[in-house]
Amino acid sequence: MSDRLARRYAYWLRFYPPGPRRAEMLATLLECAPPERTRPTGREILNLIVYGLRARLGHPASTAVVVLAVLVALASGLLGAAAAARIGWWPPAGTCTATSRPWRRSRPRPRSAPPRSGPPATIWCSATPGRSGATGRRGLRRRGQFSAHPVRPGLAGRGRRHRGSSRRARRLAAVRVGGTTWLLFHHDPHDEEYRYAYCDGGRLTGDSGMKVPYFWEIGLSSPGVFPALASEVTPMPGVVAVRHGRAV
Amino acid sequence: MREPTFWILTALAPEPRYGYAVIQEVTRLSDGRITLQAGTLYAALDRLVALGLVEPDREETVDGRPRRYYRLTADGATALDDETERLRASVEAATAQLAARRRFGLGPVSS
Repeated sequence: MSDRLARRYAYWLRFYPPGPRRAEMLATLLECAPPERTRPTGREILNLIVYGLRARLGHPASTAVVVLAVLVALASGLLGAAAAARIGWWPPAGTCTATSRPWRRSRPRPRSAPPRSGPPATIWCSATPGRSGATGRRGLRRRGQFSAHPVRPGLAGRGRRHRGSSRRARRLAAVRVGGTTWLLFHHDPHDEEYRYAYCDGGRLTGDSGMKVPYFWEIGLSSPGVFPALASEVTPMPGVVAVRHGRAV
Repeated sequence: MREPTFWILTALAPEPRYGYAVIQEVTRLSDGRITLQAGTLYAALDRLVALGLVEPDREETVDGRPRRYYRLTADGATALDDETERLRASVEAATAQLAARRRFGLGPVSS
């Protein structure tokens, strides 16, 4: 009956509520232990855990309370997981109002964007908490968004009708991915979005805006949507890149 | 009545005993078939105390460790009596059935 064994039993007896019962059980456990034993057996430990937790429930006359406790624990776990998942899909507080500039989409866009030549299409995606202000304008809260630039070489110069159908195709392709929430098409090099897309918010020099692809900006309900969207859009003709945007 | 409960009541029937003595007595009475774990024993004792079938008797301290004795109450004795009668009836029923099997020559019955 070593002190070490007593300490080990006392450790597992902490599953029981504090009180004289612990000392009483310790005495019984030590008396039951054969002299050569130095540590509790697995069966003893399991027994102490199960009955210790049950003793903490405080109703030893009824087993219904155990069932009830298990059900409550399961329900709490499920509700907690559901709540955590819901919260995980929401942006952290403040990102919707953290935008440092007004969203410019409400301004009428020039209908006649100049024809464009230059590098083939780029699609890039921007998950930009700051830009989520844009969706705040719509009364929605979004986790992020991305932009895509689909331009098939040569197509851009062919006029609006073709480009329109191309845009529609891209729109359909992008919307097919679950979790995308909204699309904005940017084609005006003078648009503020171009500055953020290509110059990190700085000014585009000269006519460089005319030489870069135009792009889609697509809202994501969660950053986790991005890989599926990228794999959907990347193989499309004329698409050069899909990427997350940066916070602004 | 579950088997540990039955054996605990049986062990406490003649005299008050403390935890380890109950475990030993149960092992002896059941020919070593039943080895009560401490957690099982005290959970059953708590339940029996709550039901009024068992009550704490006295407390001693041996080697600096507490020993609380438990004794069977009158209700406990009645409950054990009823359970014993029930088991006796079960045993008699099974014995009669096995005797019938033997009469019909349906194979050996160990005696």
